[in-house]
Amino acid sequence: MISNFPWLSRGLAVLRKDLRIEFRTRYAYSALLMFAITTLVTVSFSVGGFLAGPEMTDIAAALLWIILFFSAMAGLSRTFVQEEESGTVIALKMAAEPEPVYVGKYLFNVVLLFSLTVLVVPLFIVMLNLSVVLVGGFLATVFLGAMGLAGASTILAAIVAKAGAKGSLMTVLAFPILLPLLLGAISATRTALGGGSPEAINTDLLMLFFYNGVALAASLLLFEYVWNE
Amino acid sequence: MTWQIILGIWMSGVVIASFIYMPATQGLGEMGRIIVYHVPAAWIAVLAYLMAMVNSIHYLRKREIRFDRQAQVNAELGTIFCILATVTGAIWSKGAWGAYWNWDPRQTSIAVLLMIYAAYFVLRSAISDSDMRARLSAVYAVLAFLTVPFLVFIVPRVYYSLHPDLELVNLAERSFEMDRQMLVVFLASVFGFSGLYLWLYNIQKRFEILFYKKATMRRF
Amino acid sequence: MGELGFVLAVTLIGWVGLFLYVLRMDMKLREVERREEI
Repeated sequence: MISNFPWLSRGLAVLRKDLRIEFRTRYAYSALLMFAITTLVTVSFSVGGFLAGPEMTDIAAALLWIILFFSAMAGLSRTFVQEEESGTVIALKMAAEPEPVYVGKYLFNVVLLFSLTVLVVPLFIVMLNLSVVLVGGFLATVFLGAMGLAGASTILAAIVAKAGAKGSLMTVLAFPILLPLLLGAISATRTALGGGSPEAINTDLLMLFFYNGVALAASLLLFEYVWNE
Repeated sequence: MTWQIILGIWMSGVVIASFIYMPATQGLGEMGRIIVYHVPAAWIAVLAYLMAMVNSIHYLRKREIRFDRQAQVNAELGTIFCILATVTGAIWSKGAWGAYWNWDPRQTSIAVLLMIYAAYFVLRSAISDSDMRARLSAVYAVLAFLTVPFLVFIVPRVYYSLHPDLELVNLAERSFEMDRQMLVVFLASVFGFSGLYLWLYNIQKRFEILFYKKATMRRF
Repeated sequence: MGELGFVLAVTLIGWVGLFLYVLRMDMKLREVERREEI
């Protein structure tokens, strides 16, 4: 069935290649993990014991996404740089159209971020002594939010790689574009932690869902302009 | 030459009228007069951005460098109006809610627009090859524009749950009714700002053409 | 009324100043454009 969608099957091939390389070097994942753990420890050390109640859930919600956002910036910005550096760009261009390349890279980033959140989110909850009221909503928020981070970051990583990959370029470009995602995710997380009404979280989740859709569609359409000269 | 003079006199008239002809606003008093400058500036900032995005799409489809130049000009002009809108918005915010900045939905969106403009220029400055710069900044302009509708629907939700008391004031601002004199001055200001935008755009465009001509001639 | 008049004066002078500045740029451009034609 997958062979009916050539973009997907070729994309999976790209994904497999990247996963294999990453498994060997663990370069991107360690960048992600290192940043996330460092900020998590710092945050929980300074804030962990001091706040309680509704203020805590508000701040905790924001902190979670700050950690995830900057981890994504640290870990995902080099998605395409490695290709430029090792000269495999031409090989990729000959092997496939732009779209499968994008799909593969996107899925790779999704896998990376999911692996990160699976580790960081439970740690976060434990270290800050949080209780999750709307568990399903919380999980959905983290899932959609992480996917959205990956979705926007992938094409931006491609732009940044072509532009010379100078230090903070990724963050500068990503912040305005990811802001709606971050605000929606923070709002939903706040509701999930503090136990607000399910309707409130559902509107946020719907928005996150659409954000993912728009990000993916737009990236697929625009990627060829970044990839090809 | 005539329409520039007309524009000059028109906007001078708007300025004078906004202080003398227009009465002080209800609720906000004299501070409310700034709405005559703030809202048109914000509209032009968004319009300029829309134009920049259209230019970007044209460039991506036709690859003619003039579209990239137009996009840049629109972005520059948009930034100027956006700064003006943000500053007047902060002044308004101080008068209406006591603080220069308070994450009111509109205030946040105009700040995000400013951030998008800034990011666009940072990206452009990082690339030296003109074709690549045109291509990548065009892609970014389109991407960034797509996120704007989300903000229109998201920020109000986040905001309301944080500051419910200010929500009332925001609602009051939304149902802000303008008596006839204010409406006249306001609309006149919208015309004036639009004219100013078109004039500045025209000047920038002519400047770029001459500059470009000189650069190509130097090659001979 | 005094303070308001002050703000009015500042805004008006600001606008007229900006206007004349851009007008000067416009006229300089025309000058160069005319020369290019020749």
